[in-house]
Amino acid sequence: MKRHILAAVASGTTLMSAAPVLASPADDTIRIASPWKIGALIPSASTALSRTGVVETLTMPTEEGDIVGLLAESWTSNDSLDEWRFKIRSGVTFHDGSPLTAETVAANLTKFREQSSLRIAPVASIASEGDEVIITLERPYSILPAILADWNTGIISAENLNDEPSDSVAGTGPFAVKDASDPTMLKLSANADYWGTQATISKVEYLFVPDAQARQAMAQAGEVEFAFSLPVTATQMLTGAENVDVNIQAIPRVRALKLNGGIAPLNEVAVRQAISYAIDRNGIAASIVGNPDTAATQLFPASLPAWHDTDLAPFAYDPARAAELLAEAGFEKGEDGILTRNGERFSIEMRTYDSRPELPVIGVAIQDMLKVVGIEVTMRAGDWTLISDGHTDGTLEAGMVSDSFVYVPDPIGALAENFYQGGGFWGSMNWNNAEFDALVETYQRAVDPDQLAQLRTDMVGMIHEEHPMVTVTWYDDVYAVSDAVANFKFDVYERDFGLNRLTWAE
Amino acid sequence: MQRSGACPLGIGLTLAFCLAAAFGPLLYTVDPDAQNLLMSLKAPSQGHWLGTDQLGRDVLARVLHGARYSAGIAISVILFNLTMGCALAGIAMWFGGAISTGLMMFSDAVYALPGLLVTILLADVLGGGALVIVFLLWLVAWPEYFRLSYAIGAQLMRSDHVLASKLAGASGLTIFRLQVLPVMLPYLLSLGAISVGRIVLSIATLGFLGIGISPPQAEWGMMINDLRIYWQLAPVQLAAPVLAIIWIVLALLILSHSIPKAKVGLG
Amino acid sequence: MTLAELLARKALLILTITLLVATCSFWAVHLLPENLALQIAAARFSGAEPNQQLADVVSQSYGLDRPVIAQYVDWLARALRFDFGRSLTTGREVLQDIAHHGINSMRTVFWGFIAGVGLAVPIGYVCGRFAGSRLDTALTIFSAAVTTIPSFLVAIVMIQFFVVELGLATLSGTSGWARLWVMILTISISVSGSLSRVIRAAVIDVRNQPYMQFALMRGVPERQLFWRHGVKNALRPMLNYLPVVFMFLIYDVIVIETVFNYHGLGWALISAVKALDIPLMQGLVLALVLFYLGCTTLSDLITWRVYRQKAH
Repeated sequence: MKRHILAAVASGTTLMSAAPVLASPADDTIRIASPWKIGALIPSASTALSRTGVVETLTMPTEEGDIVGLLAESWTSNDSLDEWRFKIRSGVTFHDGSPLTAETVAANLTKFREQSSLRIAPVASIASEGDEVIITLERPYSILPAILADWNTGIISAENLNDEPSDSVAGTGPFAVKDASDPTMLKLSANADYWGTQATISKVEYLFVPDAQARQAMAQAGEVEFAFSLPVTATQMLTGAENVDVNIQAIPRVRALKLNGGIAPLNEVAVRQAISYAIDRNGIAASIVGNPDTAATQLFPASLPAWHDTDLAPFAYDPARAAELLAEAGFEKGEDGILTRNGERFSIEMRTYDSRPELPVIGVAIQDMLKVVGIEVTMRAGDWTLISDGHTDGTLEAGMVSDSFVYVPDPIGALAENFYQGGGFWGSMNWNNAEFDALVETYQRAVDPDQLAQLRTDMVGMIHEEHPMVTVTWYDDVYAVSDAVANFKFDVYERDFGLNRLTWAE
Repeated sequence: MQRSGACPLGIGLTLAFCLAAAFGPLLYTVDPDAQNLLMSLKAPSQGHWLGTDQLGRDVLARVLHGARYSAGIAISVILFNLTMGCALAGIAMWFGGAISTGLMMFSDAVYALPGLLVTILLADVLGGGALVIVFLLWLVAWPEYFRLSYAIGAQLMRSDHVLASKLAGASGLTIFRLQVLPVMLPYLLSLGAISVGRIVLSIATLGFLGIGISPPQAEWGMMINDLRIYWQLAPVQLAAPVLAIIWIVLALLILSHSIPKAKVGLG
Repeated sequence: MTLAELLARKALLILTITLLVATCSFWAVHLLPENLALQIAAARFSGAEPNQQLADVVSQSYGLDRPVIAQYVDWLARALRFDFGRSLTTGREVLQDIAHHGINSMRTVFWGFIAGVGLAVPIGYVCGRFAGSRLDTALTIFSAAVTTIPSFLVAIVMIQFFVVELGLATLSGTSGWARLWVMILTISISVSGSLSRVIRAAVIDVRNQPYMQFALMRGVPERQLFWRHGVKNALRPMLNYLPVVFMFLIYDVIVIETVFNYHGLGWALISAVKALDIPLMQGLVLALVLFYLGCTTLSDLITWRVYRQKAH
């Protein structure tokens, strides 16, 4: 009897022995706890590849927002702005040893055209010629270089340009993928042949940690050097923790209530305005976001002065006005306090996701605020794909979302992506406004500064008035960084952590 | 060991819980969903006896409404199970043969299935809500009741007085009502008491995982999940739903230990 | 019962359950309001705006335009071959993801089970041997508390205490004892609660058997007596109780892995549910169910092996 048990335990022990011991910080590794899953290893699907410096784009923004070359050395356009030539940097090799050529770049841009920000540009053709990539457009388009700075236009080696999902990917950046067999962890090592600033820290581990509490605990315990997207209370919770700083960084990003403008009654401007009036933005900003200044008064924050229109009347919290607008639209309160019109209850489903931990909390807050004016909201929390899938198949009714204005470093990119012709995942949905679309197209070919300024005012004013998406708050990102790391600078464009610049603190 | 003191203690704790679930929300009339964003995560005070949560909602009111929610679901599930278990056992015994074998096999298969998995698989699709939770918890738990009723029933059917009634020409329903049900019911009720605790824990687990129960429903597991990130700032608020769960499950555990167990021969 | 009979019975049960779960999975998906073809299209062409035309192509290539019954039969056939297609989020074979996460889960489940039994047996034995003593009462209260507290709470407390406050364990990495021991402790605590009660009852029962009482009166030392005759009898209720223990283990895998951010089957299941990654979700549920059934079959085989003499 005893013998049997012993034998079973012994064989089990050999079978199940735990593999390598956990690495200590002394092993020259930067560990990042991120709420963003790694996903398929293609640049257009995985933010991790760009942020950790595996893949690079043709252009990049400077801190001031000017567009400079990255994999493109320089570029020129013809006078009518519908043909652009990008000269590809020479002497750059991919992590798999193959050289970066104009041909590979053109193949990348062609393959991922529909999946990257390039889809918002009116591209006619993409070709290569010598060391140049030539992009021709159907109409004049001034912001093409900015589009090519978006993280999802990263360039990978020709080998990886097939349809087979792969366990590895070769980019040109300062870090190369060493091990991606674990779908929840990306192990990188420094690329010794990098053409730019060589990384001084040799290894990176990018960990997908969906639970905010776990990210916070990991930062607190000193297990990771970085933890991103923490709840704002982390500043209070981690005050006692040594060796870790919690920072708050304002970034040009918005939290908003996405509405399906294709279904009744959300297709009525007055109804969307009523929803906007019903939301107490100051309350949400002060108590959930933790910074009263983030309460949105219009779409763009003051940190984007060109786009922030000081003449606009700020969003107001006025439930009485909301009720009035809804009554004018023909709604009557039923016995349970929910509005009805022609026998139909005003009830919508709001989807949200928790990679940004405050979104579901704001969602529940708005659920209650809308109930006050008689709109019933049911909640469905999950993963961010609930929003993108729901947008794609048209089943989304409302969604609590957040998006950056500067993935394409010129906010016109975000406007074109999110509001142009029916909208995008993180903006309006089925809001078709020919006048607005015309303004966007004009803007993309205009060069005169005064005309551009006027167009900006018009576009922002139109969104302000019609609420294709109800802006709720601007954004503070809360992240924790270990004292052991020096030289970290938060990238407000959210495209690159800048890991190659990091050093260990003295 | 604790036989002497345990029974009154178990009954007392359970009774106190039932009273709190039934009358608590009537006496403490604060709206569990009413938000006050300016009062979020405030410590206990005169107006909010157990403080407020991250949206400034009253935690005591939410705990009381959560008790009502859990208790309501648990009681409906058990009522469903009792009727379903008895009815199916009756059918199996009366018709016998293939129907009986088929039902036994089906219940064996469902019984051998980890219930939570099926609940997770279906809750997401069916969209959640109290009725869906009742349905799913019932779906995975009925075989226990069926098996117990069948075991007791089968023994009774062979007993002399049932055979006598049969010979006397009594209908199946009459036999069931007069001779089978009175014997069966105490056993089933005792099983029910034991499974209330399990159901409460299942509901809390689903709420904690955020599956099948959606806001603003006041539910303990979901409250714990929402508040755990603020545990240093709001310890009382987090402790309240935790203690509520421990209270009721412990009460039922003590209660079920003091109920005389079903005899092995019948179980 | 012969071994062949036992195995045949078990195989039939496993087959029935597999079909049951696969059926649930299939209809669950076909009840979904979302347009399945569009969803697959969106995942395959990640980020692209799939239109109806694209959806029609996908529909045809996946056979989604055929009658539901034909699809159902096809699905069952594929499920029995473990062919679930590709995950909608990672784009990898579902089976590959299951294997990856499965190995992680096996580690914690195996050691959690060993540790849980290791904790429950001494507690149960001591309680049963000294039934009614203060020690018995104290340990009884402990196991009652353990069965009462939901395991996600134990996990939260463990993380705060051992990871954050003491820094004795970590939440990152998939292997290594620094990562595993707290999880194993958490699982073993939740397993030991009810198991120790069963063992206690079994020990009391055995000690009250007439042959034990008789031998004790004749002055045979109790320890020797118990090891020679008692163990086997006391073990039987425990072996019979094992399926319940495995059920708890499966629940713990889901809840504790989620709280600990441990990338095993349970964590993957919750992530897949949140992302509505249906192929992965179906595969994981079936994998967990089969894992559970495998465990119970194993425990039945052991029971059969130990007690077969008695059956004759």
